[in-house]
Amino acid sequence: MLDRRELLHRASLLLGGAISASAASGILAGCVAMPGAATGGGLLSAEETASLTAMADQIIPKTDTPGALDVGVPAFIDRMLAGYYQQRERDVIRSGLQKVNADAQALRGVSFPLLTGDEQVELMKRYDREQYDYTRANTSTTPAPPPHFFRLVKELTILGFCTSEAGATRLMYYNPNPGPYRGDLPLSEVGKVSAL
Amino acid sequence: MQDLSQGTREARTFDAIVVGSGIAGGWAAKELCEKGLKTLVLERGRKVEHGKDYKTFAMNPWDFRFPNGRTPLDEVEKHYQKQQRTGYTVNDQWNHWFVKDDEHPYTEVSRFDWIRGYHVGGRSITWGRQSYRWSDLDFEANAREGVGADWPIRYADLAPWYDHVERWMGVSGTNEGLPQLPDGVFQPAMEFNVVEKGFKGKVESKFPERRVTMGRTAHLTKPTDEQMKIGRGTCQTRNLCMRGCSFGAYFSSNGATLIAADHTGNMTLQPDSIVTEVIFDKTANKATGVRVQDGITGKTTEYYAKVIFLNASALATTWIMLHSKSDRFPNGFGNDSDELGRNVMDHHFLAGAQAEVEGYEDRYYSGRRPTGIYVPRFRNLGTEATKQKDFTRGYGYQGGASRTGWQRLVAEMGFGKELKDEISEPGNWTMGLTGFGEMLPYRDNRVWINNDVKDVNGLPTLTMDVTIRQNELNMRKDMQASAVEMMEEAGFKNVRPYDRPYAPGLGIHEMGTARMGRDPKTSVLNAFNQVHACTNVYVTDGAAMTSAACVNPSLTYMALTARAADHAVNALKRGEL
Repeated sequence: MLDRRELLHRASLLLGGAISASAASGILAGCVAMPGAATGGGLLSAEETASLTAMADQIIPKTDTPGALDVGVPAFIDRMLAGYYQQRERDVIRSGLQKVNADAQALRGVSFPLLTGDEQVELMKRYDREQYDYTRANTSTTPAPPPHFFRLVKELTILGFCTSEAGATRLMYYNPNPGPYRGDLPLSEVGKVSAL
Repeated sequence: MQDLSQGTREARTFDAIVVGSGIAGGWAAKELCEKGLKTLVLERGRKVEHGKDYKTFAMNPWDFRFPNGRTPLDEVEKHYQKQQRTGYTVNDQWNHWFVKDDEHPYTEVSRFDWIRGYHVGGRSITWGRQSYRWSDLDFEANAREGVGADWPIRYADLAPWYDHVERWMGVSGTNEGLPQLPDGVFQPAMEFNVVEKGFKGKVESKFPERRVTMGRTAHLTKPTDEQMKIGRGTCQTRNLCMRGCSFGAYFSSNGATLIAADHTGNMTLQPDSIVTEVIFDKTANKATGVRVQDGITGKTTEYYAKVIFLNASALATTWIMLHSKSDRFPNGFGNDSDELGRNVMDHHFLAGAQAEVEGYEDRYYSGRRPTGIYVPRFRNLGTEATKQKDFTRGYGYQGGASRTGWQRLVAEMGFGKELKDEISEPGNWTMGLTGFGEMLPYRDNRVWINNDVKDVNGLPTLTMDVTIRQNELNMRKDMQASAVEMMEEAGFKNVRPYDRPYAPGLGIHEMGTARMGRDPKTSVLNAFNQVHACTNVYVTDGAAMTSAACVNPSLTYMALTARAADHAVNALKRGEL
C-alpha cells in the first residue's frame, strides 16, 4: 500500500502537475470543492478533473510523441462542457464520473485515479464495450438519446488531441495550403494521414 | 463612403440600379459597368472587402474557441435553428456568412429551408461552385410534356453567354461531348484518385449511357492573364472555400465581378441598403427607381435609374416584387399572371448510396479537392433505352472516394497505444454518391408575404408552402437503386442505399418564382428576362427559372444575367427603355 505522501505526489502528477499538492490532498480526502481549479472552463471539480485526466492519459498516452495530457485534453473537455455543450452532456459526464469512482471503490476501495494503470484499463474496457453497444443500439433512435458518458469522454479526448497543434502536426500530415490536388500517390510519399 | 441618401435627386440618379451583389448581381454590375453605364449596386447587408474581411481564412483548427469552429449548441438553438439544417452551414468558420434566424424569420406551412446570408457578395462566397450548362433536353422539357410554361429560349440563345461567363470566371472540367450536358470553356480538370479511376472504368464499360467525369467547378487550375490581372490565383485545394478565398481561386462576386466593375469607375456599391419597393410610374409605364430602407438607421431614400436589375436571390426578389403594390399592380409588381411567388423549385438530393472499398491501402492523394466526381443525367434522354416509367426528367450524381481520417476512431472500440498509432494512418477507402434530381414546377408550391411576422428591420416576411411530390419520390428510389448498381459493378463492399430527410430549399437552389415564358398570361418575364408588363426591369436570378433541370443552377443565372445586361444596354441605345 502506498503511503499518503506518495499518493499526494501521484495525484498531482495525474493532474498534469497543474494543481497544488494541497488541492490533491483535498481530492484524497474526498473533497469535491474547488470548482474551476486547474480547469479550462471552470465547470468540473478537481476530483472530476482528476478522473478525466487519468482516463485521457489511458486513451491517448504519451509515447515518443505527445499524448492527451501534453496537449491539455482535461482542460479542453472542461471548456467544451462549460461552453459548447448543454446541461444534458454536463450531466452525462458528471454522473458518469461518479459511477467511475463508485466502480473503483468497489474494485479496490480507492477513487479511480488511484487505481493502478491495469485496473483503470480493466474498468475502461468495460465502459468501452458498453458505449459501443449502447451507441450502436441507438443509431436510429429519434430523438437521439443522451450519449454514453465514456463515448463522450473518448470522443472529446480524440477530438481535443487531433485538433491540437501538437496532435495535428506531430502525428499527422498537416498542410493548410497543399497546392494542386494530386489524385494518386503512393501512401509512402505523403507518409501520414491528412490532419484536415 | 459618401452618404448618397443626403444628396439631391440628381446625385441619386444612375443609368442602372442592380439590386443584390450575389452571383447574379455581381455579373449584372460587371457587365453594365463595363458597357459604360453608371451603376448603383444596392446590397441589403454589410460591406465585405475581398481578402481583408475573410477573418477566418488563415485560422488553424486550434485557433477557434472550439475546435474546427464548432458553434456552441445554445447559440445554434438561439440563432440558427433553420440555417443549421444543412448540417454544414453553421460553424464559426463561416457563421458570419449566414443570417440569424431570430433576426430574419420566415414561416413554414411545411418544412422549407431558406439558407442565406446578407452581406456584399451574398451566397457567392459560400456557394458549391459546381458549374454545369443546361441543354435543350432541359429547355424543351416543359413544352414536350405540357408541364408549367415553355421556356422562351433554347440552348442556342444561351450558348455564347455560357462561353462568355465560363471563360471569364474560370471553370475547371472536361469536355465529354454529351448532348445532355453541353461542353464548355474549361481550365484543366482536377485529378481522379485511384478508386474513382477504377469506378469510372467499370461503370463506363458496363453502362454505355453513363459517364463518370470530374466535377466542373469554378476554381482556377490554370488562370488566364485576365484573371491574374484582377488578383486571382491557382486553387491550393484547401477545401475551406466557405471561409472566403484570399487567393481568389474560386469565383465569387467579391473576388471577381465586383472588382472588375469597380475598376471601370462606373460602380457605386452601397451596402446596408434594403430595397423594399420598385417605384412604378403608371403614366410612363416604366419603373423609375427603387425605394430603399437603410439597414442601420431605418431611413427611407429613393434612387432612380433608366434600367433596374433585380438580383436579390429568387425569394428575396420575389418579396420585393410582391411588396411593390400600386394601382397598376395591386397584386405585386409585374404580377398580371398571378404566377409571382408560385412554382418554387429546388433540387432534391440526399438519396444515393455509400460503400466501402477494399484494397488500395498503399495509395493516397495530396490536397483536399474542392469538388468530386460527377455522373451526368442518364435517365429519360429521349431514347427508348433511357425512358423511365415511374418518373419524368432525371438526376445527376455528385460524389467521390476518399480515405477516412482520425474521425473514424471515435466510433471504433479500443484506446491506448493502438488507438494512438491508428491516428497517423489513413483509414479504408469509402465512396459515396448522391443524386441531385429535377423538381417539377407545381403552381401551388408558393411563397407569399406575411404581414404578421416582421423581421429585425420591421419589414414583413415570407411564408413558404412547398413540397415535393410523387415524381420526385419515385425518382429518389431510382437514385438509390442506380447508385447501388454502379457501386456493386465496381466491386465495392457493404454497398448501402440511403434516402435522408430532404425538404425543399435544402439544396439551396430555390428558384422559379417569377418565371420566364412566352405568354404574359402564364409567366412574369419575357425571353430577355424583362418583366412582361414593365420592360425596364430585368430579373435574372433564380426567380427567372421556368424549370429546374437537374444541374446546379448558378452558371445559368450568370449566363442569363450577362445576356440580359447586353440586351438592356442595346435597348437603352435604341431608346427602347
